[in-house]
Amino acid sequence: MTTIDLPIILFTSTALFGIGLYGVLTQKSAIRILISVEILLNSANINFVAFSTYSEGYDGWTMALFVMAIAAAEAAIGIAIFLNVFRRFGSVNVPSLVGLREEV
Amino acid sequence: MTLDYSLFFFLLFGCLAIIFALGTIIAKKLMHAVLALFLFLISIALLFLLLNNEYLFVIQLTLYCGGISVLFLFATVLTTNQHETADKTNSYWSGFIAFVFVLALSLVVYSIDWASDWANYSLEKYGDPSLFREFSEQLFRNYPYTVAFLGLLLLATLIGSSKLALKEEAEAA
Amino acid sequence: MTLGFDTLYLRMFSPIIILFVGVVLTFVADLRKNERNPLLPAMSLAFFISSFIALFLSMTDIFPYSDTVGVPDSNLSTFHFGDFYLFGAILALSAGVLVTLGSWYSNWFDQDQGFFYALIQLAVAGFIILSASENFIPLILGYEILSIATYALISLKKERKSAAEAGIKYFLVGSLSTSMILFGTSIFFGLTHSLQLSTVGQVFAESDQQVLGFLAASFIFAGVGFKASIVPFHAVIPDVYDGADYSIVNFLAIASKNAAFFVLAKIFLRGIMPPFDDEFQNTLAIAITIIAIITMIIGNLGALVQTTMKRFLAYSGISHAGFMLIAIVAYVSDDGQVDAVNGLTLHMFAYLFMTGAAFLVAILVSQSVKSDELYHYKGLGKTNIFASFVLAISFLSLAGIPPLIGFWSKFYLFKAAIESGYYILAIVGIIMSAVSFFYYGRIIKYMFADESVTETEIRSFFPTIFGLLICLVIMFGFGLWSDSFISFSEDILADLLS
Repeated sequence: MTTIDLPIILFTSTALFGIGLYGVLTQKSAIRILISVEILLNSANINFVAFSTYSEGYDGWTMALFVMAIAAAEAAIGIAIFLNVFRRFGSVNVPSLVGLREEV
Repeated sequence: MTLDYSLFFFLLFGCLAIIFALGTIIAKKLMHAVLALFLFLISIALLFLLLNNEYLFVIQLTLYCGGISVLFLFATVLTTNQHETADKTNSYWSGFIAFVFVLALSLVVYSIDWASDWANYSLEKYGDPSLFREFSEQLFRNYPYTVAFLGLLLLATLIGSSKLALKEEAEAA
Repeated sequence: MTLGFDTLYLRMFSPIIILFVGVVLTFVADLRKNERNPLLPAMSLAFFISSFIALFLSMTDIFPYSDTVGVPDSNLSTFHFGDFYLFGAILALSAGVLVTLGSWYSNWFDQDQGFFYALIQLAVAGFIILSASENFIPLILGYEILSIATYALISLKKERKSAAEAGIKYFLVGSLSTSMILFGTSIFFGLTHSLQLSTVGQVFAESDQQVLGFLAASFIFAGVGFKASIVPFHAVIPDVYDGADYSIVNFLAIASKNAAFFVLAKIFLRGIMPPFDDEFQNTLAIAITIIAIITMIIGNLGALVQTTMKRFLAYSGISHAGFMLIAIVAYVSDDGQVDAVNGLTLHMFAYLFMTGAAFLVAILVSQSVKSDELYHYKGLGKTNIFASFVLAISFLSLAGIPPLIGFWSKFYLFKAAIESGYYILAIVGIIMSAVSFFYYGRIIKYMFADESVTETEIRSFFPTIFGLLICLVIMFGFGLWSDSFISFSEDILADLLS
């Protein structure tokens, strides 16, 4: 049986993690930041599924299921929060939110 | 002997996933970023399929590609204004940080001799229905209450987001 | 095939089930719109107290129970109901009670009361789930229930722009931190083939993948460090405290931070950092030492210059996060281990009631004067003697004055640092405690020595007075008889190492 080497999978997930991290750190629009967070969660998911497939247990698959549920919940609450912010500020760009500042 | 294409397909979909992930960052319009996210999620689903798990493949397709992407589409439509651009802040430093992370992790991952630790991936059980019976048995044998508590998570999401989204009527009235 | 549902579990989860019923009933009872409903906080309090009773009934030997409720044909049990669980559940429910008492007559929640109490109960249930968990899956799930409830809570007050802004900031950083925790967990899963906390620790201690383990541990640390307000990750915390409403900030300070430290303790103390005395643990300890020192310095110096109460308490919380990190470091060595757990548990417990008392008074003041500036506390000792007395006691306890509980928690933390050989932590800790006298003392001086600048009378309400009395009794009681807590925390250590 030919194989997919584990390092190839890990490189993929690591690269995706790097892209997601870059996105979170650089994007201005909150929706784009949330998209990058989804990429981060998916890269963790690839790891869980890959490790679980390679070992005999099923824990990683279970974890992947839960990560998907968590990601869905976060997207739902996040988009509700973004709508709320959009109604107040007319934009969801994070740098435009300057109401709360250190006064000293 | 059958030719094995799984490595080829894995590389293909892995590269596609990386390209689409980059696309979500590069895309000028938010709508294009959401489209790239959708394609990215499909590539990840195909990776799950290649990693021997049709079950998660289906769930990824329905939940992520079907649910979350649509959620993002709604968010895009509802919060669009004229000045939305793909502006970025302090790109160089963040790029540097992300690059260092990736480099460090990759080097460490490469330096580890995984083969001694892990059985080689085999397709022997590919498509074996018993795999999923075992998986779901294990899920409900070991994590029954954790699955039940997932309900609490969804309840919190429901209460929270309904409050945040519904308030508009009270304000308008 | 046998399913894992088991009546024993139902018995142990009765506090969570009661809170779930409470969530639903509170939600349903909130039918009157735009009107204050005094029934809702009373219901919330009743459910918290009955959950307390259920917790003690399920943990005592009145009815026999097995220590680790497992599945007969598997050695895998995802929940463990030991003394550490009991401690976490007590922290969660006390925080719930204090928040409910503080928000009873709060004028912030004219319309959102039902949502507020439902979400608080959900968050407390999440805290209880994570404190019961012995596996990464329920641990992260419980943490996420708490997080999502707080994301919604912060944005709840929609009339104010600042609440929306605080909500989006907290949410964005919080979701990043969740994905960092998950990525770190996935690496540990890869290294150890397991998600059980104790198995991860044992397998990892035998493996030689130190560098990757270090990276994974720092991912988890960075993720948890945000909600625990540890310094490089603390940036949005003062802003969020500033923007959100007092009752919610109270919950963030006393429950969310303790929950984050609980996750840290579960993963680091029970999982990967027991005293194995190898290179990995020592490297990690040195890294955390540096972070702890920076956290203590930034927290204390930041608190010196604040002019509003919320930011002041935020920086005070950051400095106390630094103190609690001492315990994580000292746990590495065999000598400091006992006092590390004594100090950590006592400080988490003490911090809850000290900061809870400060917030209860701050809620009263901000409600009467409609402002958050520190100068409103001038002359408080003359207008409301009881509230200012309790606030002074809680500040003295936070600063670490001897007969109070805060002294003993810091005493054990510094003792642990000295015993484990990290003298620098004890020195910085003691210096920073001395610095903290200045800023806590400044407000005590405001209250008792200065003339009042505001005419407004600071009213106190019965529930708040009741909550303040609880805090007062605990600050004095466990200060004078701290041995009674120490015997409990030794049980916790035994539970952590089991």
